[in-house]
Amino acid sequence: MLRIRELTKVYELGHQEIRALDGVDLDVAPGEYLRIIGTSGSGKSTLLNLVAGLDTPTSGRIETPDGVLAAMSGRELAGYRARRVGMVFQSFNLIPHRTALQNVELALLFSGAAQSDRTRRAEEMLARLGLADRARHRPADLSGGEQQRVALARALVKEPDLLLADEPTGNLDRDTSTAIATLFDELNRRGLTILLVTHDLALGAAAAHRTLHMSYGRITGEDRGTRRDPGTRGDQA
Amino acid sequence: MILREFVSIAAGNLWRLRLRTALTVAGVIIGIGALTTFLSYAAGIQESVAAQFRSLSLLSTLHVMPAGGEADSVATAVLLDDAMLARIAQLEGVAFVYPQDTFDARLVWRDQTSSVTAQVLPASYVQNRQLGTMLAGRFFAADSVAEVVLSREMVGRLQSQPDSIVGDTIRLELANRLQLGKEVVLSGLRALDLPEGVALQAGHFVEMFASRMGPTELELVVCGVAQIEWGFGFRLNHVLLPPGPASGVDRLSFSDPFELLSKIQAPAGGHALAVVTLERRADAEAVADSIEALGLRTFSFAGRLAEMRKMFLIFDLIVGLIGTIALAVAALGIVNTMVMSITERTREIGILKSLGAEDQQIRSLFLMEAGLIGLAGSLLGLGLGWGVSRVLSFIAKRIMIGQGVPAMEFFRLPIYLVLGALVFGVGVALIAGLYPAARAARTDPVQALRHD
Repeated sequence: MLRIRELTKVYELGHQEIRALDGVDLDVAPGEYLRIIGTSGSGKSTLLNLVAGLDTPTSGRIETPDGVLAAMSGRELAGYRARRVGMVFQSFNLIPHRTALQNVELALLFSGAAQSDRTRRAEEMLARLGLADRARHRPADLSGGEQQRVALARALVKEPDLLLADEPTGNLDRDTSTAIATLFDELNRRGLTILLVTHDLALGAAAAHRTLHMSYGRITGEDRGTRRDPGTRGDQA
Repeated sequence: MILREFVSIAAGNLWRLRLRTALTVAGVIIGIGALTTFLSYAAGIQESVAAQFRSLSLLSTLHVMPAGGEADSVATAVLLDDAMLARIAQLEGVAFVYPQDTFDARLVWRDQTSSVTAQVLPASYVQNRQLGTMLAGRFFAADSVAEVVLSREMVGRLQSQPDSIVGDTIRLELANRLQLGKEVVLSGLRALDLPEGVALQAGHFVEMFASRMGPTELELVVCGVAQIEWGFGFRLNHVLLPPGPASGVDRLSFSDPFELLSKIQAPAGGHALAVVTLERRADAEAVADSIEALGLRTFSFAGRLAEMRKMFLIFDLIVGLIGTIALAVAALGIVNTMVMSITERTREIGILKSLGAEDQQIRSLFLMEAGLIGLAGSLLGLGLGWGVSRVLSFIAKRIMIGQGVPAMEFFRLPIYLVLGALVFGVGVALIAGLYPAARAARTDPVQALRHD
C-alpha cells in the first residue's frame, strides 16, 4: 500500500533547522492497521501529512498505488487525496456553517460524484454511523463524539483505500473514544488500511497489526500486535 | 467540480456574511450606477444631436455666406443676391436653395403682443425641406400671399390654440426696432472710443438705411400653425412668412454686424445667409468647392457633426473615467472583503484541500465570490443608474418645457451600454478578486488545518 524510504522533513524557523522527520523507512501493507505513537513533536503528524500529500518532504520518497507522491503534479496529488485517502483529525475540522450532510457531501464533490449520488451516499454513510437524525444539524449542535463520527463519515464516504487518523480521540471522553476505536477495528476488518497517530497507548492497541514508536523524527521501535498480518487467513474474521 | 456547485458554495458564503457582502456590493452599485448615469447621459446627448441632424436633414445641408467680413474686403465682396442664388441652384448636386432672412419685430394679435424674430421662407420650402408637423391650417401656398405660419410655441405665448388662431390677422411692427437699433449702434461705437467722425459716419449709414425703409408694419393672415423642428445651430423661427410681403420691409438685424454692412452696401436683394440642400450627402465637399469658387463662403453641418463627435469622444472618456474611479474604489472594497474572508476561512481552505480540492478550484471558488459581488453590484448599479437618469431626465424636461424649449431626451441606455456595464462591473470585480484568490490557492493546507 505504502513504501516509504529515507523520508526526511526539515522545517526552517529563522536560522534554526527543525528536523521533524529524519530518514524514516516504512512499509504499509494493504489492509494493515498501523498505530504510530509518540510524544508531541516526535514527527508522527508530519509523517501523516506527508503520506496524505498535504506536505512535501525535504528528501526521501513515498510510493503509493498512484505513484511516487513527490513526482505527482498538484492536480494528481489533489486526485490522490480526493479518491485514495480519507483523513480524520483531533479537532474534527468540520466546516461550521455547513450541516453534517453538507460536510460529508463535500468529500464527494472533489471526487467527481454527481449531486444526487453525493446526497444519497452521504446520507447512507451518516446512517451507518448512527447519525441519520443529525444529518441536518450544524457541527455546533452536535456533541464531540457526533462531530468526530461526521468527520469519519466524510473520510469514509468516498470509499478510500487508506484512512489517516491524527489523534482522532484527543478531544473525546473515554466512552466515545472506545466507540471510535471499535469503529476503526470494524473498518479495518472490512479491508480498510488505517494509519492511526495517537499518544493514547490504549487506543487500538488490541486491534492494530503493528505499533510504531516515534521519537525526534525517527522510528525508535515496533510492536507486533496479537492479530495476524493483514491478508493472512483469519485476519478479516 | 461542476460550475453549479461553485456558484452555490460561493453564493452561500456571501449570503452567510450578508452585511459585509451588502456593503461591498453597495460600493459596486455606486460605481456602476455612476458610470451608467454618466455614459447614458453622454449617449443621450449624442443620440439627440445625431437625431436632430437627421430630422433636419442637416447632413445634406450647406450654409452659404458672402465672403470677407473684414472692413477692407467688404467693398469687393461677392453679393449673395437672388441672381447668385439662381446660379447656386444650377450647380450640380444642389437640390434646393433659399435665403435665410430674418428680422426682429413686435407681433400684435388682439390684445396680445410679443417680441419675435420673423423668418422669410419661400413657399416651395415645404416641398424641399422638413418643416415639422402642421397642427392646424396649411403652409402658405405662394410667395406673394400676405400669410404667416406660426409655431405652436408662438401660439402658446399668445395664449391661444392652433385651431382658433388660424384665419385671424396678426400685425408685425418694425419701426421702433429700427430707432432702437440706431441708438444701439451709435452708443456702441462711442463706447469703443472711436473718433467722433467715424461714429458720425457710421450713424449716417444707419440713418441712410432708415430713410430707405419700406412699410414699418405688416398685416398677415395666419394660414397655419406648425410644430417646428429645432436643431443645433440651425432652426426655423416662430414666425414664418413668404418673401412677397417681406420685400421692402426693413430687415435689419443687429445681431450680425456683417449683415448690417452687407445691407448698407446693397440694401436691395442682398442676403446674409442662404441654405443649400444637397441631392446627396456625399456631394457636400464637391458642392462646397463649387460654391466657394463663386467667391462665397460655405459652412458644412457634416463637418460640424464630425467635430462634435470628436468632442463627444473626449466627453465620453472623461465621464467614463469618473465612473471608473468610483468603480476602482469599489474594487478596493472587494479586495478588502475577500482578503478578510480568506483570513477567516483559512481553516476551511485547508479542509477543502485535504478533501482533494485543487489549487485552481480554490482560486476559482474565491474568484466566483468576487464575480458574484460584481454581478450583483452591476445589476443593481444598472438599476440605480437607470433610475437616476430617469429622474434627471424628468427634471430636465420639466425645466425645458417651462422655458418654452421643446423637451429633449438627455439620457439613453442602449443595450450595448447595459451589457458593457455588466461586463465591466464583473470584470473589475474579477480583477479585484485575482490577488485574494491567488492567495487562497497558495494557502499551505498543513498550516491552514492548524489555523484557529
